[in-house]
Amino acid sequence: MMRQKQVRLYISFCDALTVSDIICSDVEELARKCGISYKVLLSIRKVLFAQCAPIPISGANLYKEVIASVAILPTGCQSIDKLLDGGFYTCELLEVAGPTRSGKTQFCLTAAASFATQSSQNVLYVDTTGGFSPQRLQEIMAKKGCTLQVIREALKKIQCKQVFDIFELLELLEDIRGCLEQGQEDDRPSVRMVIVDSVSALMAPLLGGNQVDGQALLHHLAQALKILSVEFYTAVMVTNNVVQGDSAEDVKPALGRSWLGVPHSRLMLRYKTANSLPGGGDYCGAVERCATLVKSQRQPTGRYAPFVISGKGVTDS
Amino acid sequence: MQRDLGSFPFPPHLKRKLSTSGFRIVEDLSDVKPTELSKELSISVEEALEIISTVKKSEPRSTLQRGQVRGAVSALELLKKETSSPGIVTFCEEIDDMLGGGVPLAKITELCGSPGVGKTQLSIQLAVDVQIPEAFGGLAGEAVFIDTEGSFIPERAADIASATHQHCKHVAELQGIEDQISAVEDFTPEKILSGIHYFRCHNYTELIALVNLLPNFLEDHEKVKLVIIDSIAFHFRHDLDDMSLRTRLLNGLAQSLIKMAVAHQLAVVLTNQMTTKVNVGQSGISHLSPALGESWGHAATIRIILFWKDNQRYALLYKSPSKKETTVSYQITKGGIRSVDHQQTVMDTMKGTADESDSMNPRKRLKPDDPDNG
Repeated sequence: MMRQKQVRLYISFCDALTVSDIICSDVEELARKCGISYKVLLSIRKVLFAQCAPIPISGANLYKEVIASVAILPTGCQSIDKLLDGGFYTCELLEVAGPTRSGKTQFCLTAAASFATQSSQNVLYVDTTGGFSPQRLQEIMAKKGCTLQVIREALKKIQCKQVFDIFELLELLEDIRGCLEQGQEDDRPSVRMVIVDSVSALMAPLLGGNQVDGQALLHHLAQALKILSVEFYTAVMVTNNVVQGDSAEDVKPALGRSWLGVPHSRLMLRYKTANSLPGGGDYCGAVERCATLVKSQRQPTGRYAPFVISGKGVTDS
Repeated sequence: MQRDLGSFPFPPHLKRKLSTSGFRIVEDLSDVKPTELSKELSISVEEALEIISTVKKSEPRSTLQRGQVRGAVSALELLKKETSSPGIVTFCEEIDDMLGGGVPLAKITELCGSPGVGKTQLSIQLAVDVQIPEAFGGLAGEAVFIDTEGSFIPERAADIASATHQHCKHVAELQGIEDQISAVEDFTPEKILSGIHYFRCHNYTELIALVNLLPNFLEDHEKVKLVIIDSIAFHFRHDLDDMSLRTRLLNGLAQSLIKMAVAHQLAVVLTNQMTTKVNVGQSGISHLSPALGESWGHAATIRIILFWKDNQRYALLYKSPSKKETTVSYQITKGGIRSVDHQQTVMDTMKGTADESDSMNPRKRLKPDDPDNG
């Protein structure tokens, strides 16, 4: 990345300012504009190509690295683990989308609790809605039969940061990357799971209307999240709202079309029983809910798993 | 530092200039002087200085402890903090238990319900209860009451304040603890009423402006522990036709409110109306659901639905990250919100016998006097 800057400074006397200017523009035209000979410019280009092009990695090496680095973390709910082919993959970005009170936050809390009790590594919980509840974490761990000592240790491992605007989040993700880079050097990543609950709460004030910056920021966010998951082998989970789809029954994840392809996997949560409110039906007791896999890189989509929310968090029904 | 410069909070025109001049990532700016930058981008030196200082600020400090993300707090510490700070009690034991010790601080709680079910009453009760002195386990705070409908009735607030005063006095006399007796002397109904900062918002522009200025107000009034907006829905339901604009404005409001709640450790209570939702699919049966649509449903951390059933008021904890779904009954008396079963224990501290039907809906009763309806 230093290269880019040097080139920018050396040839800034002509119109070409950056590496990409030289690589992308027509050589003949550039030669005419800058007054550098065609031949010199061609050799400059050659050097730049050599510096910019990535080096090939053999598939076998890649496979070995993946086997060595990827872990599958439990979600805390067996049927959903099965749906996700074992649980969270540490190289994937998973999105959990669903309407209000479909269990998104509970799913996140359960996952954080079950990871923290079973692993020595840290969880980072980014809370954008005030939904993070240490009391509930404690309850989930206790109901799952953990001892007080285990709960204490696990709660220490769950780091929470409350973030209320997108720039704060981008800065935080950069910080985490710095942390992970540091951790990689001594071969023990410090944070292994990052949960952002919820992404849409931060993005919604910036999207819609004639805001120009929103889409760009969404893109930066997607990139930052993917770097964490793919390059640093961290399990990254985000939650998202849903919006009305084409038909009345149909719902789709919020944040628009460009976001749809960003997560590697997507779970849609919904309640099975009709959404009844005061004035009709009873709403006490455990409502049966349902998780559907709508996007995945390794599993057939469209399959679903029923679950309930109990004292133990998100569990099989 | 490979962070993209586009991810910083710069104005869009500066971002464009940065990127066309080849400044893509943080490193590109690492040894550029403000004067150089201003010359290269043809911007003012002040702007260049601001860009560079913003970027410098975000650079990770080398003193970072390993595995510790800046500003993150462990769940254990948060748990200790949460269990040590009490919520705002409602004077209805069942509702308090349902919420785990009253309306929690640093969260948004939404009260949804049809007209007359007691949203405003509960709000006023909370505005009074937040001021209960520390000697009684209260917060000794103050309240901000943002009224959009014109439904705040000072007479009711006075009723509830004097009942609360009486109750505290009674407790202090029974227990005979000196702290409480001296505290109750200062806890007069007048004092309680002056601890409610009332704002009247006539349209959504006023509301948005107020919420944006509220952090300044809170700096000057550090005792404020509760912000009530009664109701959040009113102006947004009627005055706005552009739905995507409405969603964006409301989501922005929700973000400002939760930010405020966490920064000042105060409770935010919003009231919301109910709307009729018709099931298009099957038989066309309709049911009531909170207004402002699906996307607003995510705004509040805790959602309570108040409703009538068989001549009895009920509160349903509809959504909460920490407590399970529960329905409890409550009633509204002259002295405010009370539980149904333990009515006697609280009631005997009050002077007049409260007449449920009399105080059931003061909004209707007082309508002719209400300046906004005149």
